[in-house]
Parts: sequence; C-alpha cells; structure tokens
Amino acid sequence: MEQRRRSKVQEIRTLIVRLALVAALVLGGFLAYKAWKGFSADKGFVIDDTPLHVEQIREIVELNTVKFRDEVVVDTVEYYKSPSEQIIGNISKLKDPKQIKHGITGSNIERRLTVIMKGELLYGVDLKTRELIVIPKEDKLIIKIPRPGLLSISLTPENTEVFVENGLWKDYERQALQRKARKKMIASGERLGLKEKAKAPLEKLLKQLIVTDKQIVIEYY
Amino acid sequence: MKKLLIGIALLSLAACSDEPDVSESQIFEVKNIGMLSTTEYTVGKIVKLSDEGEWWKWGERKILMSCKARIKAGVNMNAIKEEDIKVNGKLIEITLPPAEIVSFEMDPDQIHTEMVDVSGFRADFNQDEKNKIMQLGEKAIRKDMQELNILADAENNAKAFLKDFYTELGFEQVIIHGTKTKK
Repeated sequence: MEQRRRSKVQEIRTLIVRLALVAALVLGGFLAYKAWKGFSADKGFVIDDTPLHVEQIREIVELNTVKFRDEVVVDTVEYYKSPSEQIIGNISKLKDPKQIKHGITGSNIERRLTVIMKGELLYGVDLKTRELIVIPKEDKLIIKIPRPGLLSISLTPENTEVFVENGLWKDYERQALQRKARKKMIASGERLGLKEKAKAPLEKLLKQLIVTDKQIVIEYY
Repeated sequence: MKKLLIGIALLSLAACSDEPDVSESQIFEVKNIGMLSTTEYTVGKIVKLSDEGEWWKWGERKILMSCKARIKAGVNMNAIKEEDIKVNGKLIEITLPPAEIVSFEMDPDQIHTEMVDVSGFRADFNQDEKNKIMQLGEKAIRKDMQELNILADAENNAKAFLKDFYTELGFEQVIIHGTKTKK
C-alpha cells in the first residue's frame, strides 16, 4: 500500500517536472523568437517611399518676434447610458485585442479619446499684406508698421500623442479634438497678451537694422 | 456554481469603476526671436503602408493617407552682429546669416485617410496607429524637404526685401552677402 502511494507521488512529481520542462521550453522558444524579431510587441511600421509634391511656393515677408511653445491635453468621454449597455459594450470590447484592457476593467466609459498636443505659435508682423512705411521728418525717422498678430500655428503628428483611445474613433472626431487643442493654444496666447508682447522685440529688431543718426519713432497702424 | 461565476463576471463588466478624469492642463514657454520669414512652401505627400503583421496574425492591412505640410523659411535677423553691417556714406553692406526653417506645420484637418483594406482576422487601424504612421510621413517629408530649394529661395527673398528696405531708408547702394545655407 505504502509502496503504491510512493510510486503515485513519484509519478506526479515526474509529471510536474516534465510539464515545467515543456513550459520552460515553450517560454524559451518564445523569448528566443522575440529576441530574433526585435523585442517590442509593436515592431513598428515601415512606410513606402513616395514622392513629395510641391503644391505652392509663396514669397512672404514676415517678421516673427515671439515664439510660443504650448502643450495641451484634450479629452472627450462618452458614458454608457444603462448597465445592460455597459455589459454588452464591455463584452464586445473583449473581442478586439486593442480594446480588451478597456473591456476587462468593466468601466462605465463607452468611448474616450485623450490627445496630448505640443504646438508652436509664431507672433509678429506680416509685411506682405500691409507694408512697412518709412517717413523721414526733420531729425526723426518715423516707421509705420502693422500691429503684430498671430502668424502661424505649428502642429505636427510628431508632437501629437494619442494617450488614451477607448472605443472606436473616426478621423473627423480626432480632428475635432485637435481643433479644440488648437483653439486652446490660441486662447492661451491671447491670455498671455503675446500680440502686445511681440512689439518690444520687434522695435528692438528694427532699431538694430536701421542705421541712422536720426531718432527712430515706431508707430503701429 | 457555474451560474454564480457567470453572474460575478457580468457584474464585474458592469462595475462602476470610472476611469480617472484627465485634467486638461497646459504647459508653455515664451521666447523672443527675430526671424525674417521670406518663403513658404506647401507640399503634399501620400503615405502608403502595408502591414503584413507577424506569423500569428492572420491577414494583412493596407492604408493610404494623404497629408499637406506648410514650411516657412527665412533668416535669423538677431544673428546679425554689428560687424555684419558696414556703412560708408550712401553705401551699406550686410552679411546675412544662413537661411533656416522657421516653421513646419501639418494641419490635422489636412490629414486624410484615403483608403483602408483589412483582411483576415486583423483589426482596423485605430487613431493611435494612424498618428504613428503620420509621424513616419512627417519624417519622410522633413527628409525630402532637404532636396527642395527652400533655403536658397528664403535667402534670395530676404536679400530682395532688405535691398528695398534700405533703398527706402535712403541708401543708394545696397550690397547683401549671403552665407552658405545649412542643409
């Protein structure tokens, strides 16, 4: 009896050791494969080489005097309207590998898109649409220049990060969120009074460029 | 027992575990510059990608996206030193710093998905993946841009503008030298 029990224990031990060996082999094989292919699960995309088309070349005259770097977080959320909708929604998320993590938490959020955007805003004067006027007057040199304004907003995919993407989102919805980020950047520029702040470096720049014995008077129009 | 487990699983899927709210915060930096932008190029590119995936993913995904970029170039007037401006009566001689890229913009509204083809058990491209593809598109545009004449155009236009500017100021002879552009 005792011998039978011992042989059974021995059998179980052997089985466990063999299973552990098989698991180790599978794991080792998987790790070796990943190491060979590049370790990240998302090995990254490679795009095809396509030509660049020059659509327009424009001559401009802009004096940019203030550069404003801004970073904003924009978020949009939609909630399930009822518990039954929540259960069905979360179950359906389990079918999509990219959405499993959102479905498994059982969250009451049906869809969420959070984007972090960095942008660069340039303030200054556009001298193509409104000219710079020089009026010599006795011992003064009057420079009439347009009021500074916002001249460009630089947003790029490199400076965009999709931080949370729960549920399925269309391009136009993402674009709407990015427009919101853009508006926020413009609003902060306004709040900081950057159009007004662009005047001092502009005046300094003009005085540096204009070589004269006369007194320089800068007027905005 | 089985029913109880299914019940618990369903309840967990309906749990009210709200995800934390994302605070819509802002970080910023303001810097004084002195750039004279003189050229603007608008370029377009089709970004093409075929994602065959890994051996365990059955199927293929293809996407075609179009985008536009607006690039401004000019010269940094703050880099002009006192010794770069020489005045001799009605003659002025200026040495300009090399032209550089002032801004690079890819308007999100000008980025479009033209075509998507997904086969097998593959999932559609999500917004995060599309953004990553466009990041590669941006890199390709920045690389291809070096073949364009944007910096040479910027320098020539800056010379033309400064010539007019100093002529208006009363100088009869304006000589402007350029510096070799950095590509």
